[in-house]
Amino acid sequence: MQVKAYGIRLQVMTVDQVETVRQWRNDPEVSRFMVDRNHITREMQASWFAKVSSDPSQAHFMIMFRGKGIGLAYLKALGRPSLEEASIIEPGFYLAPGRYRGTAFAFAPAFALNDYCFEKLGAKELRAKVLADNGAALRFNESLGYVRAGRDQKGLEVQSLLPEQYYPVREKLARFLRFTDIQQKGKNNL
Amino acid sequence: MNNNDRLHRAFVDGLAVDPGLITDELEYNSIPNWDSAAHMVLIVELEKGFDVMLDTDDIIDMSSVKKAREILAKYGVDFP
Repeated sequence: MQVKAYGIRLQVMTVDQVETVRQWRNDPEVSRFMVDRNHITREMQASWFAKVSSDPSQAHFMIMFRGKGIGLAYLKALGRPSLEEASIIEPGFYLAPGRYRGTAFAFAPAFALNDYCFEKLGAKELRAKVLADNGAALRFNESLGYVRAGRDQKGLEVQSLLPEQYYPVREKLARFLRFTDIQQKGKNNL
Repeated sequence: MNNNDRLHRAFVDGLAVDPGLITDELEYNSIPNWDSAAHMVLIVELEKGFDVMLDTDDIIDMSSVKKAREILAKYGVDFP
């Protein structure tokens, strides 16, 4: 299964990508924004992948751009055993260290994930969980229409996004970045 | 307002920073304000300010004030 939108492709993560993802995840540029910042060994990563790849309440995707993996995205069903049954889904992603981080390009995987949740999986609400001191992620989510909804038991900031909050933002931002144009140009490279 | 002023204004508005911070040396990661959301606003401000439609790669590569001058020059924007 894969999602093509906004010039990128979300491709279900495969076992041959496990080590690449581990290296990204261990890079301080990425790990400093994670709840668990401990170094992840090959064994830990293999164990994690074996667990999540057979769990219907989760999905992990490689974010592909021009044929190359540039980040990892995930979805988690909240309160239901599968993504298809969930009315509330937690989406998240990070871009690999390098060229794309910190740029407006981050809106492409965010829009692709949100569209997939609302339009294909039928989610009624998205919830993001972010470290309270990760101002960039909080601001990014707010620019997507998320509103703050308190903190969870771990002290993570919870943000909520409803379709009526998301679509006006998507319309406004996609117009400026001409994602349709990006999509057309990227077709040959997907 | 000349093009240098427009560029300066776009960065001030886009990154929501003090005008004194905007120098050619200002680049991504040098200030906390420069994140993905701010970068989107910056791109919007640059496109509006200079009436251009930036290419995907140019959007991604817009990583400093100096680089912004170089990229905008490709679109026919002169900086005296």
